[in-house]
Amino acid sequence: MVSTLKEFWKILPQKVVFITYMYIIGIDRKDVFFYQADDEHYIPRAVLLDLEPRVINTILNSPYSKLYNQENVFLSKNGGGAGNNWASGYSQGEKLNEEIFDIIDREAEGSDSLEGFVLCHSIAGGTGSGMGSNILEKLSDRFPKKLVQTYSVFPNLDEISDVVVQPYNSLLTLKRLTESADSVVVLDNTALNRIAADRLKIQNPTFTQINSLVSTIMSVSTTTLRYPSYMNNDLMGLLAPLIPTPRLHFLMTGYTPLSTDTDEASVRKTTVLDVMRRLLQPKNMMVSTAQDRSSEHCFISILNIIQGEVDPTQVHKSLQRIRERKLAQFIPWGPASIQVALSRKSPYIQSAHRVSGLMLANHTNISTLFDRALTQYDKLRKREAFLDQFRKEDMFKENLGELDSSREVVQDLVDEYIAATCENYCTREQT
Amino acid sequence: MDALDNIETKQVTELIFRLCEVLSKQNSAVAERLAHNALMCLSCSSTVSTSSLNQEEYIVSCIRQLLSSQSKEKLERFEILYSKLKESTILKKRDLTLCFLYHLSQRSYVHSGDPVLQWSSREVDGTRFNSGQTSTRTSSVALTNTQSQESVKRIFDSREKRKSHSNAHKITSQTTTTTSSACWSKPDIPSSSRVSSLNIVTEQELLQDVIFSFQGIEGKFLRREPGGLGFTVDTKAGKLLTPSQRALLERLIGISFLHNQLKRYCDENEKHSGTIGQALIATLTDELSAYYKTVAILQASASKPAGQENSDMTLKRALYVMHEHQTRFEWLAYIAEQCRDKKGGAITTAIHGFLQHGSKCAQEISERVLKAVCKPLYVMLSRWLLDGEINDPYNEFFIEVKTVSTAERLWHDKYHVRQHMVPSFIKMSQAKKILATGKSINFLRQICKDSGHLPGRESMQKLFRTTLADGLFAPEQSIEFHATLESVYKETSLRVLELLKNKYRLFEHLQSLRRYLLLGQGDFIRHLLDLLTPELNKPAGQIYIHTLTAILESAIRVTNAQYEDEDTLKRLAVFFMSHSSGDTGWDVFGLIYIVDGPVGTIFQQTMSTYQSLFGALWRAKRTEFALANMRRQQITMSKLFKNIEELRPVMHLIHILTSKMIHFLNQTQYYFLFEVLECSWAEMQNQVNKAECLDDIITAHTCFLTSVQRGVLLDEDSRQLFSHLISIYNFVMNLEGHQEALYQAALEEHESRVAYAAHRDAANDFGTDNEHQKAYLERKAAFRQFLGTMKLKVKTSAQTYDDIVKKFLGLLSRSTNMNLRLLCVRLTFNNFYTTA
Repeated sequence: MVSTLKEFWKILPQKVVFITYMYIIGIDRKDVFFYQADDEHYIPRAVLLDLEPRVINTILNSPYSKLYNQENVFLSKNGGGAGNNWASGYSQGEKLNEEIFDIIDREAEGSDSLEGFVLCHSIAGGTGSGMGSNILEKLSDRFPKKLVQTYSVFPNLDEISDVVVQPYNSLLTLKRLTESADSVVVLDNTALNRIAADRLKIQNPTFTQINSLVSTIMSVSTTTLRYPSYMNNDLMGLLAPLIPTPRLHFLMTGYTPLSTDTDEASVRKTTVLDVMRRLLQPKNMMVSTAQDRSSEHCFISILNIIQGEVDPTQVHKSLQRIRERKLAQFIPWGPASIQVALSRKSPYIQSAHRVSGLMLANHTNISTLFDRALTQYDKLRKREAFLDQFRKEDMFKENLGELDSSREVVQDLVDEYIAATCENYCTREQT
Repeated sequence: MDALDNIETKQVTELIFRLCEVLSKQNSAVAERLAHNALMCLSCSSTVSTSSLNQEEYIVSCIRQLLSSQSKEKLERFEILYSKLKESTILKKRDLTLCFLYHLSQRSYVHSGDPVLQWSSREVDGTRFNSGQTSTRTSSVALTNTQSQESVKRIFDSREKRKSHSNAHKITSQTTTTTSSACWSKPDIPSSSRVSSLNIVTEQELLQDVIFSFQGIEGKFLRREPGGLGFTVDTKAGKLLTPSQRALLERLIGISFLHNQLKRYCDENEKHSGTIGQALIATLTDELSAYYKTVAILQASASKPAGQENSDMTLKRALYVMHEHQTRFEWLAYIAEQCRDKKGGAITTAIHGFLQHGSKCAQEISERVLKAVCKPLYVMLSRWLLDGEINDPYNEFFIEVKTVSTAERLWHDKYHVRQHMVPSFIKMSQAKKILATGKSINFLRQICKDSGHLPGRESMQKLFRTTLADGLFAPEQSIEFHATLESVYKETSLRVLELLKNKYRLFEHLQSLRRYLLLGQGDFIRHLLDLLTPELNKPAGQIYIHTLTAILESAIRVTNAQYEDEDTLKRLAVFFMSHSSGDTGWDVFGLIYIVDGPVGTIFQQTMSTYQSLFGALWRAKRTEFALANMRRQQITMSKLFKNIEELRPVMHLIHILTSKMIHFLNQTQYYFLFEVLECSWAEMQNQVNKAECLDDIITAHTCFLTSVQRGVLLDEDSRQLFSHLISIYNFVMNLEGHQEALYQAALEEHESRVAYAAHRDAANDFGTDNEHQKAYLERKAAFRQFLGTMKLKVKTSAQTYDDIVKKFLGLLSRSTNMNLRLLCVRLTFNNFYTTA
């Protein structure tokens, strides 16, 4: 089972960064992401969706094609794609709704105890953002009691995108991520490229290299589900302590060691404290947020997943050291602390590092990312630029109210994050 | 000179009396005393001295020397007297007479005053003193002869007294202490009668009596002590004895006393003592028969053909001949006395004490006895160590067997060390190893049904073949014995461990217990909770075990537990505690893991602990699960009731409170996991890997459970903390109820609003319906009111919750247990509770 899992994770993220491509996985308690086929093979409980055939065809022609259930691969008949347009993607999604949900329903019914869905997509393009948004809305309508988690790729802001309507796309998707998703793991292309360049010394990182980072994150963040132990063995158990109120559900990640496989093995034994300290360093974070020490931003919650040979009896000592040195700033309005989960390392994936760690953190700082998206949107909106493409679609034919309401939602989100830095967050909404 | 003519015909004694009379200047009392002394001296010397003519010259020269040193007058006088004496033919044994006189003068020489009188008193002291000295030489107890005999007697007498309540000991002790001096202080006895009676009792007669007494038979002079074991001199016949005879008799009958005592010990214990006791008696009997042999020789030499004038044997000689036996008997009697009322190993311990004795004789005797006594012990030991069998009909071995009810209890209850039976040359630690070795054999044979060849037997067998029982206690040989014991113990224990670890999958069982009873298999537990919740919410009386078993099975089927070993899954079962009224399913439900066979020895006794641990952890999990469900419902609500604006303030409060609770529960559980389970587990693994025998594993496992119990606040000291914890859990359940009510109310409101909107849309064409609107508004107001009260409830709940947690944290921070303070740190990591 696990050997196929390795292949699965290997190919999965290669496509994530492609904006047009989207992925939905059902999470079940047993065989978290897979089910067993007749021939004892494990098949990922995954649905592959795209509006144009290019990316998915490369998968189907790759050695991994056998991995997937061909019935779960959905390609739009017209094959024209969404043209990097959110509105196009959204309306195509609307039209293809029934076909798509036929597949999803079938998968959902095939699971013994479906806990939720994982959606992998990008927020800037057309299919992932537009059709993804549509599917998000529909998922939360159809399965209001199931969790929906997304791994959402945020665009690289360091380079000029060829997708001019990216700010519109992002904003519109962010609204859905705020309202319809239950947990969003933010994968920031800006940070990923920066890490590749600064830490891994790769000047022009390829998708493969970036994706290997992302695949690691996805793989490790689900490791406690796949290797269940005393705690954190279902998605809700994992998310509940991370997300205090339903809207503050945007998680950032950090990973260590961030180095290429050729790096020499560490000189001494890596301790829990080493890993935890490194995870708190901004340079290891996979989200590029403005690091302003003077600001009031703070951690709402932290979950560190440490894999490999570490002494579990050392966990507490490490926590105490971090507390003494005040390495992490926490919210003032409630109890908060670093959770530590120790997990087995997959015996199938070779790694040069004996110990590695992933941090899933809820930090108020993430609002700067949304703030940035708002600023970019405002710039474009002020000029009324590139709105014609949107007006073509039904949704925006009459007015651009949807854009305004999205802005409002995202602004609210930013405000709530900022409110969460203050002590009186508890009494918010008490008018 | 006329008188001198008659001397030949008169008795020597008469002469002495007359001499004494002259010397004492006609004072009859003094004369009598002197005569007595002289007679004693004479009779003494008669046995010791051997006459020779050369000796006369030597003595004369000695006398001359002595006198010349004093005065010439005296020397001249002596020369005259001596020449007269030489001429005289009356004195046949001139040399002896001179010798006597010489010794007499030498003794009195040092002192001033009447030399003869002085001598007599000194002599008395001397004999007593001497006898005292001899006894100190032989007895190591540093008692004088009389005292040592007395002490033996006293022990013995006190028993006698208990038995017969007779006053015998008074008499005996009086006689023993006073006889030697009594005769001297009885001046009223007429001298003539004494002298005449002395003449009657011959050495031969006395000797015969003594020999009789040696065999425990009464004679003419020696009578059984009334009520005692020893002999006394017959009071009537005793008057005929000279004091020196008396003294000798007293000494000799001491032997008889010891003989009687040993004999009696043998007779008394023959029937009702075990093999080790028998061995002791056999040794004593051996000693006794050696003694009888000596007595027989004594008898033979005492009854020489009547024709011979003097037989070689005298009382003094008899004393000498018997001396060796006497010392041996003293020790044997002492040993026997120590072993009285003891049996088995206790006997060996008692005897072993003498081995360290300073006296060579005591060492030698005790070693001989100990060797004999250890033989049966050695046989038992070899059977135990080689085959694990106990053949001990008299309960003498230091390992005892009890009957056990179940196979699991064999290791714990069947075999025990009888502490009082452990010989002192085997240390308690060694005894425990011996116990463990045999126990391991039985464990292998009976519980593991392992009839395979046991390792390390050859060396043990060889040892038992080649060495004797003294290998147990003799320092040099015992090294080998203990080394072999050590290696056999190790190898046997190792064999047990190997079997347990490999064949009986000890580690797998430990893992399974941790996975299922200590909730390590999280996904399974979570799913089980999920499935059980509706069932367990029912009153306990309405729950049926088969329903729960079915649920358990389905939980296994759909989680990773299905990949578990089939054997493990078979052992997993639902447990149902007895319930009282008002209990719900939650109060009585439990999981059990059935362990039988060899590993049951380790686990079965701990099952109740596992049950309580399961209870505590299950409770925490259930609360965590409830909180997760609440959070799930909150998420659903925020999606579903997006449009009900009024709901938001209440929901926000609930969100915050829930997240506080989630934090509390999660941190408590992380604490359970890392600080309690992981740490204890690591320690146990370490101990189990280091274990040398099954007991080590059992200890390690028990320690593990104890430390987990303490960690999850189930120990005695944490009662208050635990009750606080329970109240926090209850609080969570309480909030769950509030939220459920809120959800229902919001759902109704939501539906009514949707219905109203639909109605309004439909009715739009015909204008608004007042009645509907009124109902809608009333409803809305009622809902608002409900929200108001709910908000108040949640607010007070939040307040109370904070108070409880603060109290709990206060208790934790004041706890003496370091770990609990760590929990406190965890719970208020960002100082939320400490600053607030």
